[in-house]
Amino acid sequence: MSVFVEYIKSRWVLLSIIVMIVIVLISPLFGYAYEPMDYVVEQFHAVEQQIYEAPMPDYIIPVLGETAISGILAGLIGLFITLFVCLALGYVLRARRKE
Amino acid sequence: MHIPDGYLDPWVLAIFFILTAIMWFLAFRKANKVIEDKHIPLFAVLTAAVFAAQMINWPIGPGGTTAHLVGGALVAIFLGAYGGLISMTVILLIQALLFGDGGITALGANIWNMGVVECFVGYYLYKTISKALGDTSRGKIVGAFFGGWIGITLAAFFCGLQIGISTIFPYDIAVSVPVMTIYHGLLGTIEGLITAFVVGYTLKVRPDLLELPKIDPL
Repeated sequence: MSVFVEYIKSRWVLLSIIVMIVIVLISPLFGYAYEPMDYVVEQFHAVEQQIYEAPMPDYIIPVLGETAISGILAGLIGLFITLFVCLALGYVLRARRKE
Repeated sequence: MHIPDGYLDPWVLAIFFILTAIMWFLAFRKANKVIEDKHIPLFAVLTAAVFAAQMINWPIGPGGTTAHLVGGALVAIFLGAYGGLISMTVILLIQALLFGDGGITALGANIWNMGVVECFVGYYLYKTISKALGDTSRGKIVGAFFGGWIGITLAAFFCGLQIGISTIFPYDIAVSVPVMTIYHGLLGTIEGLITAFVVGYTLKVRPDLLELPKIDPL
């Protein structure tokens, strides 16, 4: 556990988190997406059948509309949820480790 | 490369859910034996970094297409192929459940493509090439480039295969596979370059992060 805490406090972890936040902050500048999958779908006239309504569809917070700040906040929420889920999952796996 | 709901036939969804579930079972079983305290922050930081990087699209593809880093090979190089699969599973689950990026029913197929194919191809190509080049820093960087590039290209091949064999599309795999594979083959060079850059930079500043025990089948 002490090694784990030591790593969390280490400089590379903090620097990495800062870099990630910067990436999310600039992401609206590179948000336009037209992937090869979209090209294939367009050619084939396929239609998506939505069966689930995500709380932040297309990285947009509904109450804030399609704005840059909405995209940034959605990205930051996703980023910190990912960090938290991985730390929790990693800790559970470590605690259950079979020697 | 995230397949939405409604694009794949039920039998395709079922096959890839079963295949992915088998890989999850093996991955978590191995992780239970290998994971150490040192893995946890690296696992969290790499996964979150790939999540953030996937928000950046580069518009350099043919026909005005864009692409983003998938990152499976990159994570797998640090954590092992099974480690990469667990990491990509977390990302794809959060993207599908919170942001509607990738379908719920297509999760098995998406995780197979970006979690299993890219992580395994990327990781073992990296290992093979770096070993063939004498396990030097240069060999590892070259291996990371090809691991990232070929990993995403083969992931796209499987994606094209899945949508091509599904009857919702009026064309077959003769069209969907070449489009997905060739386009991602071109865009994937950027994935290779980013993977090589991150590995090269880590070798300079924190080479120990690449030496942790790997969560992989071998």
